[in-house]
Order: sequence, then structure tokens, then C-alpha cells
Amino acid sequence: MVDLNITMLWEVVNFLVLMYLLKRFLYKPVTEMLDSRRQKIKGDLEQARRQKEEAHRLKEQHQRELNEARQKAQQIIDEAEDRGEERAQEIIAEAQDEAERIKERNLAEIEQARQEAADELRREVASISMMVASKFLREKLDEEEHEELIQQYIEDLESARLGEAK
Amino acid sequence: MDPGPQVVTYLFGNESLPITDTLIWAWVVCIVIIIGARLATKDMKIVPAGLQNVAEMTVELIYDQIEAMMPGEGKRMLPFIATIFIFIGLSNLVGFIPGVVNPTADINTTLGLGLVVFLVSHYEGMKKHGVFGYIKGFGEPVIILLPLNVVGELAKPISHSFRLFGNMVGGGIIIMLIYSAAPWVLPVPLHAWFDLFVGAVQALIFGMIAIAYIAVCRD
Amino acid sequence: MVEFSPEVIDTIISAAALLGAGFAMIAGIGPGIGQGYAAGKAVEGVARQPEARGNIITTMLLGQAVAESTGIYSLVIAIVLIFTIAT
Repeated sequence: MVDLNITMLWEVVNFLVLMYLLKRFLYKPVTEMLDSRRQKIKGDLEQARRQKEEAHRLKEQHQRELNEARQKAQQIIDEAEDRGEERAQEIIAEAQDEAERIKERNLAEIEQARQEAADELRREVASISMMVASKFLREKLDEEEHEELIQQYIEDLESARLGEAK
Repeated sequence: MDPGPQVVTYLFGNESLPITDTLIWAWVVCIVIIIGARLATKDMKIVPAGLQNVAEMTVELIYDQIEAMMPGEGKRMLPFIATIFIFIGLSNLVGFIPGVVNPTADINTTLGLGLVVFLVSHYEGMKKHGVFGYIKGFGEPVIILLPLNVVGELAKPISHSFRLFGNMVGGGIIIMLIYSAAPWVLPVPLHAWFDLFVGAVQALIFGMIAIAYIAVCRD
Repeated sequence: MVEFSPEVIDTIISAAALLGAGFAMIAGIGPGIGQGYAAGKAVEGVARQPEARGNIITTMLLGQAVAESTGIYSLVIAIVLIFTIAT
């Protein structure tokens, strides 16, 4: 039963053929698949790392930009407040000026109107005096009546002058 | 009563070209392995499933064993070592089916494989150190030890192949005796022990020792 | 000198071969001791480091299978004696 014969050669040939076929059908595809999977996992990890870095970078950038924007907004608000303050001061000053001017103008107008009224009054008094005088002259009133009339006019005049008096 | 390989027929009717049952079962095992490999790798996917998983796991396990002993040589030695593992493993396990003869229970199979490992290991050694440098290695540490080293080297394939052969044929003989004594229940656990456990362990041993021989020759 | 017939000589050879096969299997003592020693050491190892149990058992089985080879050689010789010479 322990006899060596030609079947040993057959077995060796068998083994070599099996090795060749398995190399073709099993080892090559499997090792290629394992390699490609390794490459894929490596690539995926690399990509994930890169994306993470990118995300980190973007986040920092956004943070920085946000801070800048906040500062800028604060600056703008401050400026606007300053300007508003300034402008308000200006407006108040202008309004005060305007009020002053209006007041002065009104006073001037009042003065002028009073002047005009006084003038008018004076002219009126003069014309009335003239009229009265002419009436006296025309009607030749007696001494008493004359005296009385004059007295009355002077009273009138005095009361008219009262408006002008202080 | 001969438990050895039986001659089934003669190739071309020639008496000097016998075909034994172990040879036929070896062919069957080869065909099964090739069909299995073809099915496993027919449409490979990046996410493995079913047989592809088995194939990938087997290849990776064997690859790791080679890399542990011969760093950097895993890819080149993989076809040779993995074929030894797979062929001997299935040859040992196939005896679990009643009526099937283990192809490894034949000294021609195991000695053939042992001689192939022997030749490959010395080829690797010569490739690494050069032919003369490698032969000079046998005269180390003193030249007087040269015949001893040579005999030790020649004993390697013998012990390598006889270990596997003895284990498989011994189990086969015991199972055969039990079959003739108590053919009903008793052979089942014996089959499990001799064909599954011993078969798996011996296939592992044969492959590991093949790797070790090649690694030693490369040192 | 006694002359034996060929049948008797064959019988003597068979008996001697079978006896030799039995003696050859005395070599089974060696692997038995060796494997038992390996198993004992493995038990010690597992008791000391239960977490390394899988590694220890694998290594033990490998070592035992190698240690078995001397016993296997005797088995092969016994098989050759029984099935090739004794028949």
C-alpha cells in the first residue's frame, strides 16, 4: 500500500494545474478586489479628512467674517449715531436761529404796525382837527361853544394819545 | 484487505499508467475547488457577500500567515502556499463523506506535494543567496557537518509528507476497522474526529511547515 | 539444518512482520508523553493568562501535531509491515 508509482507525477501535475487555475480565478481577482477596497477606503478617509479640514477652514473663515461684519456694523451704528447727534444739534441750532429770526421779524412787524397806526392816528387827528377847525370857522360858533369843543377835542386827543403812551 | 489506494483503471490500457481512486478523488476535489472559486469571484462586489466573503477571508488569512514568516513576500508566495492550504484542506475534509477516499491517504499525493515544497524552498534559497552561496550554507558552521546537513535537508520532505500521510491513513484504517466491527453509530464521531478535526489540523500543519521550510531556506 | 517449506517460511515472515508492527507501535509512548507535556504546559499557560486562551490552544495543537510525527512514522512502518509484508 505504500508503493510509489507514476500517480505521484499525476498528483504533482494536478497540483500545478490547480495552482495555475486558482491563481487565475481566485487569487488574482480577490487580491485585486482587496487592493481596490483598500484604495477606496484610503481614498475615502483621505477625502473625509480633506473635507473636514475644508469645513474647519470655512468655519473659521465664516467666524472671522462674522466678527468683521459685526465690528463693521458696530462702527456704522456708532458713526450713524454720531452723525445723527450732530445733525440733531444742527437742526436744533437752526430751529433756534429760525425761531429767533421769526421772533425778531415779528417784533419788527409789530413795531412797524404800531408806527403805522400811530402815523395814521396822527393824520386822522390832524384831518379831524382840520375838519373841526374849518367847521368852526364856517359856522362861527360862540365863545362858549368854542371853548367847550376845544376842550373836548383835547380830551379826545389825550385819550387817543394814551395808546401811544407807555 | 488493503486500505491503500485501489487501482481503478489503467490509462490507455497501459499497465504502467495506473489510475487510483485517490487520484480520481483528487481530480474531483480540484474541480470542486475551481468551481467554488469561479462562483466566488464571478461577479465581485466592493461590498462582499456570500461565497466572496469566504474566498476573501481564506486568502487574507493565508496571506497573513505568509507575511508573518516572510515579510514582503506575501503576494508572490500566495498562489503556491494558498493552493497547498486549500487543496490539502479540502482533500482531508472530503473523507467525511462515507465512501470517499481521502486523496491525502496516498503516499504519492503527499510525497509529491512534499517534493514540490522541497524544490520550491531550495529554489527560493538559491534565488536569495545565489547558487554557490546557498550550497556553501550547508557547510556551516564547520565543513564536517555537510553530510549531516544534507541528510537533514533530505529528511524534510520525507517527514513532511509522511506526517500527513500517516495521520490520514491511520484514521482511515481505524474507521475501516470500526466499520467492520460496528457499522451503525460508532463511525460518526470517529469520522468527525479523524476527518474534520485531524484533517483540518493536519492541513494547517502541512501549510505552516511548508511556509517555515521556505522561510528557513531564505534565511 | 531443518528445511522449511515455502509456506512455512511465508508464515514465519508474516508472524515476524506482525510482531514487528506491534513492537513498532511502542514508539507511540513518545508522542503520548510529549503531547501530554504540551497539554499540561498549555493548561498552566491558560490558568496564568486566561485571556490568551485561543492563542495558547492553537499553538499547543500545532506543537502537538508536530510532536506526533515520530508516532506517525512508527504507524507508517507498522502499516507497511502489516499490509505489505505480512500479506
